[in-house]
Amino acid sequence: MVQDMPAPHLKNASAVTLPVRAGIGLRAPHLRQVREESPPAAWFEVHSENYFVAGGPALAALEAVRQRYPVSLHGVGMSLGGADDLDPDHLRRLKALAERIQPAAISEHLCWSAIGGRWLNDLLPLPYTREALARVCKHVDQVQEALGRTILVENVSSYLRFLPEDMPEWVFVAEVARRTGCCLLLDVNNIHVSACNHGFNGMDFLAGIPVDTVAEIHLAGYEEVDGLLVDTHSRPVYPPVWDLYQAALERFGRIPTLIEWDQDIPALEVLLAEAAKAQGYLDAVREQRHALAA
Amino acid sequence: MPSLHKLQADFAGAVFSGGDHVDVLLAHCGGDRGRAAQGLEAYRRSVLANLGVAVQATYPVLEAIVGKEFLAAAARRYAMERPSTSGDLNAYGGDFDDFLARYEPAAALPYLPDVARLEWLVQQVYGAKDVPAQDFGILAATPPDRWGELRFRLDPAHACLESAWPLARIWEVNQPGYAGDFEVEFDRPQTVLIHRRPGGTAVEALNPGELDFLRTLGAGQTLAAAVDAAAQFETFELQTCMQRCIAVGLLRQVY
Repeated sequence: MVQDMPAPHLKNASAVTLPVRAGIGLRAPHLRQVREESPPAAWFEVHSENYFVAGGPALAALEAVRQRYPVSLHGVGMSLGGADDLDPDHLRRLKALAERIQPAAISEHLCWSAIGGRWLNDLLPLPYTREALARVCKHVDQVQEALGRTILVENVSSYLRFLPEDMPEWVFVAEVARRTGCCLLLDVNNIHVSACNHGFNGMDFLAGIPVDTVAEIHLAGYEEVDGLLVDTHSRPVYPPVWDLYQAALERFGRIPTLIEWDQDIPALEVLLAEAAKAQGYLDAVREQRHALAA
Repeated sequence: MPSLHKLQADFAGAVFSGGDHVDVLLAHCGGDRGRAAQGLEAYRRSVLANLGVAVQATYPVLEAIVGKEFLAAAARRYAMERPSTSGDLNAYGGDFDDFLARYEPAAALPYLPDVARLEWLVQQVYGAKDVPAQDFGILAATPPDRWGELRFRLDPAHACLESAWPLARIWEVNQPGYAGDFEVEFDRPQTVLIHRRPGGTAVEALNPGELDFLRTLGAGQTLAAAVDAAAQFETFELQTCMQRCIAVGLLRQVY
């Protein structure tokens, strides 16, 4: 089926063998159900670190899921933007997992998580400076070298903005892809959250991203706390994020898309229904978008 | 803009210590100060919640004993005091036993640190390497008078823990769905075996001598040496112990 082929527009098409369909983030509460029932999902994404183990039931379940579905490994702890050096042990474990799972994609976040050897274990915002850009690029190069493949990097949501910055976030993100050859995982919800928190237009972000770099899109729900949007992954995707997703598909063409839900995780059926909704958007984008984009 | 290192160090300081670090960090933030402070507070809450929840998730028996709120408060204090040293949050919380031993509000329950040790081992055992069980036909093919020379590989998915408390019993009565009587005789120390099995991880009391037996075998020594190590305990029964170890897959390979 043409629609299941990997995105042909990518500069680094070999980096991603995800089907161009809507998948879901697979978390521990659904692992057994997915393994036993093989629900009609297009693909799954897991947090890499949750499988940094030598063996046992969780890893066995992931391997069983991998036999039946494409799986993407999504890291939350590499700290690509950290002033600290990368943790070689973390990188070694990711490599071992990748060799075992043979994932359709490997992604990390454009953020930092540790300083001075102390980990905050969160996706923390970077200053969009030339120094931070150089640091991130060095680390992306290092990860790609170690893994022997192109990775995807994801824009994060942020609640703080550091000034003065040398460039807007979208220039920073695009520049990471240009300098390292990595692909982008565009989190449309994160763009919306950051745009609302910092007062920029999400469409400007999309317009700043080269068409041939986007290999995956994330969708999720946020919460509003006293006017601040917080990226909680605890809600359905909101209407303005669906609108931005539509705009992204019009600009980038049909892109593998993922529904993420990490807190107050609902029944698997709810996630599948969200993915079906995203699939509706994907199906509505005409194939010729690729031709236009190329 | 300060260096990336300085900015990140100030950020971490603002999250874990507050005080001057907050002012230093906010001086580099865009937007009005109130809004930036709100953003920083969102990160502080998120970081401490992530770390605290990771600890809570590792210690369900502790939670059953002390209640959700008590454990959440302890985990939050732990998150402030004890640095995480890995990008893998599953690796966080390994010294919660030590923290609990010094945590004043838990002083009335002196067995809690041992329960924490047990639960940490349960988590390590859960993710330990898989080793296929070998056919023990070699035992039948070996004359009984040569058995003493055999060595065994133990399942990596096991651990033993000595305790001054009845850990296996404490574990048992705090399992979800446990419906028996809840009486625990706290003056009966137990040494426990933690072993991952197909139906779930087992936590069982070991009989006297069995710990020495398993440790000696696990160190790669011969069956004869293991029996010698256990012999100081008069009640140690080799046959019972061997049958049980083989039946549950604790002995994986013989050579």
